[in-house]
Amino acid sequence: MSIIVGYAITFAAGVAYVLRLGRREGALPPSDPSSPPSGGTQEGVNGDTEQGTPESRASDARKP
Amino acid sequence: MQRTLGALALATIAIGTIIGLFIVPADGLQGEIQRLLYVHVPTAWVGMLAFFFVFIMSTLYLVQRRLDWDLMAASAVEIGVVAIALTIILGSIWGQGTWGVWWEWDPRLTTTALLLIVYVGYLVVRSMTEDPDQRARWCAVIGVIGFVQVPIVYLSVFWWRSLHQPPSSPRSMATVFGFTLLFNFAAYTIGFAYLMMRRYRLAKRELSLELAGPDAEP
Repeated sequence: MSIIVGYAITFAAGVAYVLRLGRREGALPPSDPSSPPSGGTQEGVNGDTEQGTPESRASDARKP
Repeated sequence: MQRTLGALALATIAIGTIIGLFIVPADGLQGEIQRLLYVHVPTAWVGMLAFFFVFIMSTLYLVQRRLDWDLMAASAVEIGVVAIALTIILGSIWGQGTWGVWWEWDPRLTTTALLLIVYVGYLVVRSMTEDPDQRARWCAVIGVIGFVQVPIVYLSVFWWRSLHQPPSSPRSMATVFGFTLLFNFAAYTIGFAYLMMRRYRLAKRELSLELAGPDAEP
Protein backbone atom coordinates (compact mmCIF):
# COMPACT_ATOMS: atom_id res chain seq x y z
CA MET A 1 0.00 0.00 0.00
CA SER A 2 2.79 2.45 0.93
CA ILE A 3 4.47 1.75 -2.39
CA ILE A 4 1.36 2.63 -4.37
CA VAL A 5 0.92 5.82 -2.32
CA GLY A 6 4.55 6.77 -2.99
CA TYR A 7 4.30 6.22 -6.73
CA ALA A 8 0.89 7.95 -6.86
CA ILE A 9 2.23 11.06 -5.07
CA THR A 10 5.19 11.22 -7.46
CA PHE A 11 3.07 10.99 -10.61
CA ALA A 12 0.39 13.33 -9.25
CA ALA A 13 3.07 15.92 -8.51
CA GLY A 14 4.56 15.49 -12.00
CA VAL A 15 1.19 15.82 -13.73
CA ALA A 16 0.18 18.79 -11.55
CA TYR A 17 3.44 20.56 -12.39
CA VAL A 18 3.02 19.97 -16.14
CA LEU A 19 -0.61 21.19 -15.97
CA ARG A 20 0.49 24.28 -14.05
CA LEU A 21 3.07 25.04 -16.73
CA GLY A 22 0.35 24.62 -19.36
CA ARG A 23 -1.98 27.00 -17.51
CA ARG A 24 0.76 29.63 -17.19
CA GLU A 25 1.61 29.25 -20.89
CA GLY A 26 -2.06 29.57 -21.78
CA ALA A 27 -2.46 32.71 -19.69
CA LEU A 28 0.18 34.53 -21.77
CA PRO A 29 -0.82 36.30 -24.97
CA PRO A 30 0.18 34.44 -28.14
CA SER A 31 3.69 35.28 -29.22
CA ASP A 32 3.80 37.64 -32.21
CA PRO A 33 6.87 37.38 -34.44
CA SER A 34 6.75 41.11 -35.13
CA SER A 35 6.84 42.04 -31.45
CA PRO A 36 9.92 41.97 -29.14
CA PRO A 37 11.24 38.42 -28.77
CA SER A 38 9.12 36.04 -26.76
CA GLY A 39 9.63 32.31 -26.86
CA GLY A 40 12.01 32.60 -29.77
CA THR A 41 15.48 31.22 -30.11
CA GLN A 42 18.21 31.85 -27.58
CA GLU A 43 19.89 34.09 -30.11
CA GLY A 44 16.65 36.07 -30.26
CA VAL A 45 17.02 36.99 -26.62
CA ASN A 46 20.76 37.21 -26.27
CA GLY A 47 22.05 38.16 -29.64
CA ASP A 48 22.58 41.61 -31.02
CA THR A 49 19.28 41.71 -32.80
CA GLU A 50 17.20 44.74 -33.69
CA GLN A 51 15.00 44.03 -30.72
CA GLY A 52 17.92 44.23 -28.31
CA THR A 53 18.89 42.12 -25.35
CA PRO A 54 16.87 41.72 -22.15
CA GLU A 55 19.61 43.72 -20.44
CA SER A 56 19.28 46.65 -22.84
CA ARG A 57 15.50 46.42 -22.78
CA ALA A 58 15.60 46.33 -18.97
CA SER A 59 17.62 49.55 -18.92
CA ASP A 60 15.29 51.07 -21.51
CA ALA A 61 12.32 50.17 -19.33
CA ARG A 62 13.89 51.97 -16.38
CA LYS A 63 14.47 55.20 -18.34
CA PRO A 64 12.03 57.95 -17.44
CA MET B 1 11.67 18.41 -30.20
CA GLN B 2 9.80 19.32 -27.00
CA ARG B 3 6.93 16.95 -27.75
CA THR B 4 9.33 14.13 -28.71
CA LEU B 5 11.22 14.60 -25.45
CA GLY B 6 7.96 14.67 -23.49
CA ALA B 7 6.74 11.46 -25.16
CA LEU B 8 10.12 9.80 -24.54
CA ALA B 9 10.05 10.85 -20.88
CA LEU B 10 6.52 9.55 -20.43
CA ALA B 11 7.32 6.22 -22.13
CA THR B 12 10.58 5.58 -20.25
CA ILE B 13 9.08 6.55 -16.86
CA ALA B 14 6.12 4.22 -17.56
CA ILE B 15 8.46 1.35 -18.50
CA GLY B 16 10.70 2.04 -15.50
CA THR B 17 7.68 2.00 -13.21
CA ILE B 18 6.41 -1.31 -14.62
CA ILE B 19 9.86 -2.89 -14.23
CA GLY B 20 10.25 -1.51 -10.69
CA LEU B 21 6.77 -2.47 -9.52
CA PHE B 22 6.04 -5.74 -11.29
CA ILE B 23 9.09 -7.34 -12.92
CA VAL B 24 12.04 -6.96 -10.54
CA PRO B 25 11.83 -9.28 -7.50
CA ALA B 26 11.37 -7.76 -4.05
CA ASP B 27 14.49 -7.23 -1.96
CA GLY B 28 15.19 -10.18 0.36
CA LEU B 29 15.83 -7.97 3.41
CA GLN B 30 13.57 -4.93 2.99
CA GLY B 31 10.75 -6.66 1.13
CA GLU B 32 8.27 -4.86 -1.13
CA ILE B 33 8.91 -1.39 0.32
CA GLN B 34 12.32 -1.39 -1.38
CA ARG B 35 10.50 -0.76 -4.68
CA LEU B 36 10.17 2.87 -3.58
CA LEU B 37 13.92 3.11 -4.18
CA TYR B 38 13.26 3.25 -7.93
CA VAL B 39 11.53 6.63 -7.55
CA HIS B 40 13.18 7.96 -4.37
CA VAL B 41 16.74 7.77 -5.71
CA PRO B 42 15.97 9.11 -9.24
CA THR B 43 14.03 12.10 -7.80
CA ALA B 44 16.99 12.79 -5.48
CA TRP B 45 19.30 12.57 -8.51
CA VAL B 46 17.12 14.99 -10.50
CA GLY B 47 17.13 17.43 -7.57
CA MET B 48 20.93 17.33 -7.27
CA LEU B 49 21.34 17.59 -11.04
CA ALA B 50 19.00 20.60 -11.11
CA PHE B 51 20.91 22.37 -8.34
CA PHE B 52 24.26 21.64 -10.04
CA PHE B 53 22.76 23.19 -13.18
CA VAL B 54 21.68 26.20 -11.10
CA PHE B 55 25.25 26.56 -9.80
CA ILE B 56 26.68 26.55 -13.34
CA MET B 57 24.06 28.96 -14.70
CA SER B 58 24.37 31.30 -11.71
CA THR B 59 28.15 31.41 -12.10
CA LEU B 60 27.76 32.14 -15.81
CA TYR B 61 25.30 34.93 -15.00
CA LEU B 62 27.67 36.54 -12.49
CA VAL B 63 30.45 36.44 -15.09
CA GLN B 64 28.52 37.43 -18.22
CA ARG B 65 25.39 39.18 -16.84
CA ARG B 66 23.15 37.58 -19.47
CA LEU B 67 19.57 37.14 -18.30
CA ASP B 68 19.27 33.86 -20.21
CA TRP B 69 21.50 32.18 -17.62
CA ASP B 70 19.29 33.54 -14.85
CA LEU B 71 16.15 32.21 -16.53
CA MET B 72 17.73 28.76 -16.90
CA ALA B 73 18.81 28.78 -13.25
CA ALA B 74 15.35 29.81 -12.06
CA SER B 75 13.71 27.10 -14.18
CA ALA B 76 16.05 24.46 -12.73
CA VAL B 77 15.42 25.63 -9.16
CA GLU B 78 11.67 25.19 -9.53
CA ILE B 79 12.06 21.63 -10.86
CA GLY B 80 14.74 20.82 -8.26
CA VAL B 81 12.49 21.97 -5.42
CA VAL B 82 9.66 19.71 -6.63
CA ALA B 83 12.10 16.79 -7.00
CA ILE B 84 13.67 17.22 -3.54
CA ALA B 85 10.25 17.65 -1.89
CA LEU B 86 9.22 14.35 -3.52
CA THR B 87 12.48 12.74 -2.37
CA ILE B 88 11.71 13.71 1.24
CA ILE B 89 8.09 12.49 1.02
CA LEU B 90 9.11 9.17 -0.57
CA GLY B 91 11.93 8.75 1.94
CA SER B 92 9.48 9.40 4.74
CA ILE B 93 7.12 6.68 3.47
CA TRP B 94 10.08 4.33 3.13
CA GLY B 95 11.27 5.28 6.65
CA GLN B 96 7.87 4.49 8.15
CA GLY B 97 7.98 1.05 6.53
CA THR B 98 11.55 0.17 7.50
CA TRP B 99 12.56 2.29 10.51
CA GLY B 100 9.04 2.58 11.94
CA VAL B 101 9.13 6.40 11.98
CA TRP B 102 8.12 9.03 9.41
CA TRP B 103 10.96 11.35 10.30
CA GLU B 104 14.24 11.18 12.18
CA TRP B 105 16.67 14.07 12.78
CA ASP B 106 19.31 12.06 10.98
CA PRO B 107 22.18 13.95 9.24
CA ARG B 108 21.04 12.97 5.73
CA LEU B 109 17.39 13.86 6.35
CA THR B 110 18.21 17.09 8.14
CA THR B 111 20.69 18.33 5.52
CA THR B 112 18.21 17.45 2.74
CA ALA B 113 15.48 19.44 4.49
CA LEU B 114 17.91 22.38 4.80
CA LEU B 115 18.71 22.02 1.09
CA LEU B 116 15.02 22.33 0.28
CA ILE B 117 14.70 25.40 2.52
CA VAL B 118 17.66 27.09 0.78
CA TYR B 119 16.13 26.71 -2.69
CA VAL B 120 12.61 27.59 -1.54
CA GLY B 121 14.32 30.73 -0.22
CA TYR B 122 15.71 31.30 -3.72
CA LEU B 123 12.17 31.23 -5.12
CA VAL B 124 10.89 33.54 -2.37
CA VAL B 125 13.66 36.08 -3.06
CA ARG B 126 12.85 35.82 -6.76
CA SER B 127 9.16 36.52 -6.22
CA MET B 128 9.93 39.52 -3.99
CA THR B 129 12.24 41.34 -6.40
CA GLU B 130 10.77 43.27 -9.32
CA ASP B 131 13.88 44.60 -11.05
CA PRO B 132 15.09 41.85 -13.45
CA ASP B 133 18.81 42.67 -13.05
CA GLN B 134 18.68 42.91 -9.27
CA ARG B 135 16.58 39.73 -9.10
CA ALA B 136 19.04 37.87 -11.30
CA ARG B 137 22.03 39.11 -9.29
CA TRP B 138 20.60 38.16 -5.89
CA CYS B 139 19.39 34.79 -7.12
CA ALA B 140 22.73 34.03 -8.77
CA VAL B 141 24.50 34.65 -5.46
CA ILE B 142 22.08 32.28 -3.69
CA GLY B 143 22.48 29.77 -6.53
CA VAL B 144 26.26 29.73 -6.10
CA ILE B 145 26.41 29.79 -2.29
CA GLY B 146 23.43 27.43 -1.88
CA PHE B 147 25.17 24.74 -3.91
CA VAL B 148 27.58 24.19 -0.99
CA GLN B 149 24.70 22.29 0.60
CA VAL B 150 24.61 19.66 -2.20
CA PRO B 151 27.96 17.90 -1.43
CA ILE B 152 27.15 18.21 2.29
CA VAL B 153 23.91 16.24 1.70
CA TYR B 154 25.76 13.62 -0.35
CA LEU B 155 28.63 13.21 2.12
CA SER B 156 26.51 13.46 5.29
CA VAL B 157 26.17 9.67 5.50
CA PHE B 158 29.98 9.37 5.53
CA TRP B 159 30.77 12.33 7.78
CA TRP B 160 28.32 11.59 10.58
CA ARG B 161 26.76 8.49 12.11
CA SER B 162 23.62 8.20 10.04
CA LEU B 163 20.57 6.00 10.16
CA HIS B 164 20.22 6.51 6.42
CA GLN B 165 21.99 3.95 4.29
CA PRO B 166 25.01 4.99 2.17
CA PRO B 167 24.22 6.34 -1.32
CA SER B 168 22.41 3.79 -3.49
CA SER B 169 23.87 3.31 -6.93
CA PRO B 170 23.79 0.54 -9.57
CA ARG B 171 27.24 -0.53 -8.30
CA SER B 172 26.09 -1.04 -4.72
CA MET B 173 23.41 -3.65 -5.51
CA ALA B 174 22.64 -6.84 -7.44
CA THR B 175 22.62 -6.49 -11.26
CA VAL B 176 18.86 -6.77 -11.65
CA PHE B 177 18.22 -4.01 -9.08
CA GLY B 178 21.09 -1.96 -10.49
CA PHE B 179 19.71 -2.13 -14.03
CA THR B 180 16.26 -1.02 -12.88
CA LEU B 181 17.71 1.87 -10.94
CA LEU B 182 19.90 2.88 -13.91
CA PHE B 183 16.90 2.76 -16.25
CA ASN B 184 14.88 4.96 -13.91
CA PHE B 185 17.82 7.37 -13.56
CA ALA B 186 17.77 7.75 -17.36
CA ALA B 187 13.97 8.07 -17.50
CA TYR B 188 13.79 10.78 -14.83
CA THR B 189 16.74 12.62 -16.39
CA ILE B 190 14.83 12.76 -19.69
CA GLY B 191 11.82 14.00 -17.71
CA PHE B 192 14.00 16.71 -16.19
CA ALA B 193 15.23 17.78 -19.65
CA TYR B 194 11.63 18.01 -20.90
CA LEU B 195 10.45 20.07 -17.93
CA MET B 196 13.50 22.33 -18.22
CA MET B 197 12.77 22.99 -21.87
CA ARG B 198 9.13 23.91 -21.16
CA ARG B 199 9.85 25.95 -18.04
CA TYR B 200 12.66 27.89 -19.70
CA ARG B 201 10.50 28.78 -22.72
CA LEU B 202 7.79 29.98 -20.38
CA ALA B 203 10.32 32.03 -18.39
CA LYS B 204 11.57 33.68 -21.59
CA ARG B 205 8.06 34.65 -22.66
CA GLU B 206 7.24 35.98 -19.19
CA LEU B 207 10.43 38.07 -19.13
CA SER B 208 9.72 39.50 -22.57
CA LEU B 209 6.26 40.57 -21.40
CA GLU B 210 7.67 41.96 -18.16
CA LEU B 211 10.22 44.04 -20.04
CA ALA B 212 7.65 45.19 -22.57
CA GLY B 213 5.69 46.84 -19.75
CA PRO B 214 2.20 46.57 -18.23
CA ASP B 215 0.45 47.34 -21.55
CA ALA B 216 1.63 44.02 -22.93
CA GLU B 217 0.23 41.99 -20.00
CA PRO B 218 -2.81 39.84 -20.90
